[in-house]
Amino acid sequence: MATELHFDCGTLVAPTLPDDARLRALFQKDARTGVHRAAAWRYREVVLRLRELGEPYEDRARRFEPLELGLTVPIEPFPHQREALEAWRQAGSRGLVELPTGAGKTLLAVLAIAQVKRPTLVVVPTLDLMAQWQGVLEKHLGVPVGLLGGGVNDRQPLTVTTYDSATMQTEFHGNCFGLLICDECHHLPAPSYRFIAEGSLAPFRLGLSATMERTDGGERVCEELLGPRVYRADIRELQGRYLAPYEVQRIEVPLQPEEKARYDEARARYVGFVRKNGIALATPEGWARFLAQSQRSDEGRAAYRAYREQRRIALTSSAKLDVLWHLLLKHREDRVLVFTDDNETVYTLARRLLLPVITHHTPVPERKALLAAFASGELPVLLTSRVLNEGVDVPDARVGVVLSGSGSVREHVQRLGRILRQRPGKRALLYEVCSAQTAESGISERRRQHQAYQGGEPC
Amino acid sequence: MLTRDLLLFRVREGRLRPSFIRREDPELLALAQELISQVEGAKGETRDDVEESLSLRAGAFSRPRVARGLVKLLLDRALFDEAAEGVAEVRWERFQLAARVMRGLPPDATVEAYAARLAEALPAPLPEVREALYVDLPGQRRLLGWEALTPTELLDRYNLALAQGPLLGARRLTLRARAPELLRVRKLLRWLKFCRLVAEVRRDGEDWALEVEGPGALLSLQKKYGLQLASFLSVVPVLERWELMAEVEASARRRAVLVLDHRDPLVSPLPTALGHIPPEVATLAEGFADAEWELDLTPLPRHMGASGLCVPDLTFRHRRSGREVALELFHAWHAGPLARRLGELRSRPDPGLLLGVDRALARGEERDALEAHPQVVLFNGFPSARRLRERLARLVEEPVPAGR
Repeated sequence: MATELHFDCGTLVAPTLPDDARLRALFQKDARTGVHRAAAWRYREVVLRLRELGEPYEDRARRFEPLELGLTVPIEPFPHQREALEAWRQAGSRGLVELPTGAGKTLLAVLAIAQVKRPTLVVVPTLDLMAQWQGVLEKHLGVPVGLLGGGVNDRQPLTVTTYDSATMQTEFHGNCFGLLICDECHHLPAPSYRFIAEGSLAPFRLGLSATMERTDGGERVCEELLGPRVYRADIRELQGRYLAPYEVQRIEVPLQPEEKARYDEARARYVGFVRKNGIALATPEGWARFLAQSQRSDEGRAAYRAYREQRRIALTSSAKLDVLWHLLLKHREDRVLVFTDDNETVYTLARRLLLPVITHHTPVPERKALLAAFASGELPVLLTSRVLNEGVDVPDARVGVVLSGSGSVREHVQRLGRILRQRPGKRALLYEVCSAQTAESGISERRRQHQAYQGGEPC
Repeated sequence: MLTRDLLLFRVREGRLRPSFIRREDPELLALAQELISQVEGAKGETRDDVEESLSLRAGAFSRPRVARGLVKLLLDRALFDEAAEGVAEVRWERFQLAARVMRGLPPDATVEAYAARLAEALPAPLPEVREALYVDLPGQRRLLGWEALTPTELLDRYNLALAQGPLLGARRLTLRARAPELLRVRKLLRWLKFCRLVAEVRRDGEDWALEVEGPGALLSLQKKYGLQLASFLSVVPVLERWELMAEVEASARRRAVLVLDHRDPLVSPLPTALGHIPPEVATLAEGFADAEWELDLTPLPRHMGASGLCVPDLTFRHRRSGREVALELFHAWHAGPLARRLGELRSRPDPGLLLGVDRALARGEERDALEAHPQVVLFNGFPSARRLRERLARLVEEPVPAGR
């Protein structure tokens, strides 16, 4: 009897298996249901082994066939894109490519899809990226591209989805795609996202990221599930050739005396509580401990309110807003992206200055329209909290203003990446506005520990 | 479901127990009634206003976290309208106008000068424009209605949610059902399949033990199936006497065992109907008399093919050898399930299963195949006891297949 392969909720099932130790080692005997079961991502190894053994098999797991696909217009890749594609092909069309933002990862993916010619699922971190990928794929491949996420449920042979949606859907469609592309794949090792790659049969896999580094060693998970790192080029290699040259300016603004007094009082209350309770905020669990402790007493709740107050003062001081206003005026002829840390700040600014906003609340059509108006110069300023951190293509932005933010190095590199798309004669500028003599200046130092900042000029 | 910050439980000696509320607690019933009335009276109000007023009431209650949990369950059942039409278009015009004003400012203009120019150019007062700019944000949507619950039902949902919350972090659960009625087991097994879970089912006398987990749980996958396990819990109270245990995360670093049983105030929100044993089956069970075989209506589940689950209608047990043969009935409206089952039997033969197939399904080309199928018993309306006895007698003469 031929070996049958079935897909069951993100796993690969074989009711019977030939007597081959290597093949059986890929599966586990499932005593609950009496079948042999493996993680779906083992599909490629299983099929290759069955073929190697010459064993007959009936593939009822796979629900995809090769696609007739071609480029609508030939693409002449940059040398680094050609090298990356070739390295990926030689690795069996599996693997990770690390390229800085703006170096053309999306076009590399288009070339990979056209080469593999299989139904493809592209997984991206945000709804903005989902809409952007859809546009790029449709333009270059000339076929309708489906979306899963943001209230849209339209699965097509080429589909773009978000990590959150894919997490929920993989057990249903993990057998429908031959190529899995994980954009910004440094997200994949998160426990809740890993199943996207574990539960997919896709024999071909491509991971894309600007910054694969993770503090928890998660890059090894990417290598196991998507394939080895096959190509890497860092931001300084491509600057000036494929990315715009750039400059980083840091502007420290003092708090007003009244703000400073309120800041000091709130910070003293917050820090006092932390010290009194022996909470080490530098440890991984420190923040969770503070949150839990702060909800158990009036003193704790007051400390939590004080934490928020001192943070709010540091992030939205009146001097900071003055600096922002002057930067907007100075760069009236440019496209300016303004990054803040939270939605409350961004909507406050939007109402005060009548400037457009993109947050996770912004519906997909409005996002598309705002990005198009920004690109054309009709609306030269865009405010955002965190949704534009990753990958969204805003090629005409030349100036970025980080008004507030976390200490995450990745977040800062990605924000820098938004303004680095190459344009003739373009020199990008990233302003980082932070409140002097507050904890925020320490956060700023932390995020500048990336090589991308080592070449920037201090103000 | 309740968010993690709203879950109330105690962990003692490694056992996690939800801090259930009493369903008949007059203070809580009064609060539930008050919250429900507040929601019913809030139709047309914005989400921010509804949330704020409910939160204020919850905060003033003697047990604010319980009250906030009730509010969360109420809001989960609330329906808010879609974004108001035209807001995005008006906003777009405001942005275009503001961009033009900004471009026309002198290089040393202050933000106050900008505001003054805006005020001149706008067709409405600037404060009003600012206020209306993002009036379509989720917090501004208006309450249309909600899935009505009585105060007692709301408290029941709260208790269930308290028990479901820890299960979201579980990988598997163990359920023991004490001498359950067969229809209750059947409902439980059907819900298990509906939740896309699998179970190792053992019978211990009249009791049943189920190890319930996700299909991939035996592999080192990150998927936890917590949502499915939590959903499965909602059918468990259908059993009358039961115990449930599951390893869960009491906190980021501490594991504990969630322990529940039928004495906990858990009520299933599923429809109360248990289905029924068809009268023909009941008649057959009463009238089936055979020296060799005895008939059992217990729904012993069988895993079929790669991922199917069959809950047979009847099981025949050979008195001497103990060999069991299950019978699953396919009536005229079961063409799809029959085709699926035949496919599963091809993938993984199961000689312990007979398929009783209504002759209405054996038409055309399929008739010969079904007539010849060694595991198919064709019938008109319902298989007779005589046909079944004959078929079973033939089985005795056949050797027991290896591995069974």
